[in-house]
Amino acid sequence: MPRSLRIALLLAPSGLLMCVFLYGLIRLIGSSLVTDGQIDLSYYEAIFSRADYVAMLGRTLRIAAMTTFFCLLLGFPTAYYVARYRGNRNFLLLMIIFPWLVSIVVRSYGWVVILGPRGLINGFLTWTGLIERPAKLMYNDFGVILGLVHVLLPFMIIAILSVLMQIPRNLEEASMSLGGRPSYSFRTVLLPLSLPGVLTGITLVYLMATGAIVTPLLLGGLGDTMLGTEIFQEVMHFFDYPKAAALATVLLITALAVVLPIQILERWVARRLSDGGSQ
Amino acid sequence: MKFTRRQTLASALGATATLSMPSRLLAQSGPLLHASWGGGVGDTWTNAFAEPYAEETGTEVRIVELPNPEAQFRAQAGNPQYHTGIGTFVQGVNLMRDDMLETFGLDEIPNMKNIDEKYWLKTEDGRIAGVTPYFAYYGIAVNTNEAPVEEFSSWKNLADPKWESRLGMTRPIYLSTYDLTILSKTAGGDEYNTEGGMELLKGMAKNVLNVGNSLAQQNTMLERGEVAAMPFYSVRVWSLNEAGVDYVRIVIPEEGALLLPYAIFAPKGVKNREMVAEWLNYIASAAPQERGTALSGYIPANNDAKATDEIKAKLGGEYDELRARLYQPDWGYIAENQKDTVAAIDQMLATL
Repeated sequence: MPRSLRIALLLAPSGLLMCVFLYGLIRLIGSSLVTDGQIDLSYYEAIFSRADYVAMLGRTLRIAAMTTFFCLLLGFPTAYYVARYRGNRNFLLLMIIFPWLVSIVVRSYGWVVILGPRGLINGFLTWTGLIERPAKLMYNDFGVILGLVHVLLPFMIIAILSVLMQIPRNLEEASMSLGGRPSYSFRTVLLPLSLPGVLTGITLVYLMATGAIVTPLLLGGLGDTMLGTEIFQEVMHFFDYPKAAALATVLLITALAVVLPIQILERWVARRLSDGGSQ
Repeated sequence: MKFTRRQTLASALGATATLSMPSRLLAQSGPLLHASWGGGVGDTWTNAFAEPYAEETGTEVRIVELPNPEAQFRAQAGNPQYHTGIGTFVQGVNLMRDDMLETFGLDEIPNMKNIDEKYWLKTEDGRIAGVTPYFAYYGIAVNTNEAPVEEFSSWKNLADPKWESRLGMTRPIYLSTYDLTILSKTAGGDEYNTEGGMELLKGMAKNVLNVGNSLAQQNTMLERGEVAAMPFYSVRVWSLNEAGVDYVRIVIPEEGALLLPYAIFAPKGVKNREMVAEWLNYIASAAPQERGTALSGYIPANNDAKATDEIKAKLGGEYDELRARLYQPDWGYIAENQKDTVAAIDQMLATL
């Protein structure tokens, strides 16, 4: 089989996927912009003229950013530990992806048992007399962020781990044997080399957090609606597809505004590392 | 036995085609397919309606459980796969307005004569767009381990600050149709004048611990005592009681409870129209509705339906006595204004 034909056959599935994706994206944006063959911005005007929608957009971006931050904070050390583990690493990997075997709904409800008004923590605090009434540990921003970190943490760990596994252990050892403290070795050797994985993890987690539906629905409170849940409501209850498309487009643009610079940074880092490696 | 490459490919294609068939067959074989919500509703429709109907007439009705039958009706507009489906009365009104329902004459569904006309889903020219087989009511469900039922003798009690973080609430989509309507009546208004109701709703929302997103979640919240009380459906409390959770009780406050009719409708252009009309006529009759009551606590819409002593004891009286305590609003008006009302509630909640 000629090489060009082999390449074409290999590219065909991804090409088909891209075509379907782009077609859907164009239809989505088109349906939010065109009414009866005319350009119509009324859906966007309606979104930005409502204070609750603007607040919802801000809340979505804030919760996504905080979720990403906490995933990174927990994910990097975990990935580092797994990467440098000398025992059965596959077992640790299995433990990381194990939660994926359980439905996201069940995982989210698990937090009710722990954090709910009649949950483990409130039960204990009430029993010890430290509080009189159950504390509101969930059904607020905290609950949503906690649930999202729980759900999305494996994505961050795996993205970082895939890069850390490629970094030879002796680079850190060389740095330390030359007098570098662990923190210095981390800052000047490990962190720059792991940045591509970190940036990929940030992108993945941030994008998934901005579009989250189930976790905010189950663990969010009265005023904690996120844009994903609003889109869900417009589609499933009002069947207002143009408005849902407009909300989805706004979400897409705001997410891209964060993700595109990260992608540019990731390429710049990769180029720098590549240049450094060839010198 | 050896397979050539061509035979292998043919087998794979055949297997793929076979695997893709059941869903299509499911939607086309029949003879009748009825779209229902899942859980207890699906069981009620199987045991109280579909199976007895098959025994009596020989016509099989398959109950297909879906999260949202209305969404299927809309997605399949012009090429309906289901013969009938269930929805709330508001969903029925919305589908009827969008010209997505098949309509019937009274001569095709004669049992409708025994159902009060105020429960009919009908077009402006009087044609029947849906059958109301039964209704539930929307009262206040109370976990009596957390609070005595007397504390919720009025809808106004829900706005009392002493219940801060102790109440549950449904989503704005249902707040707009149910809670706001009955709270407006409590405040001296009605579905046309919701100003006072919105104030009461705001007071209630300030006391809310969380918003329930599914009936299962709301059941759990009540059962576990995560919330002391919440506006809820009589039939869900009935199910909890039947399951042994006797400490959750439903209260009809002094201002009354909201009557919630359900509707069974057929999509426009439905196949086997005559068979569908016969099935709808059966649904409108008293016997299956009585069985539905025994199973799930729904109140029959057919005036000929009789309550047994056991049912009377559980419901607290005759059907007529119960109906007298329920408020039946103008669902058409509520459906027409639903989007605006939801937007108003969303904005009110955002200011809390």
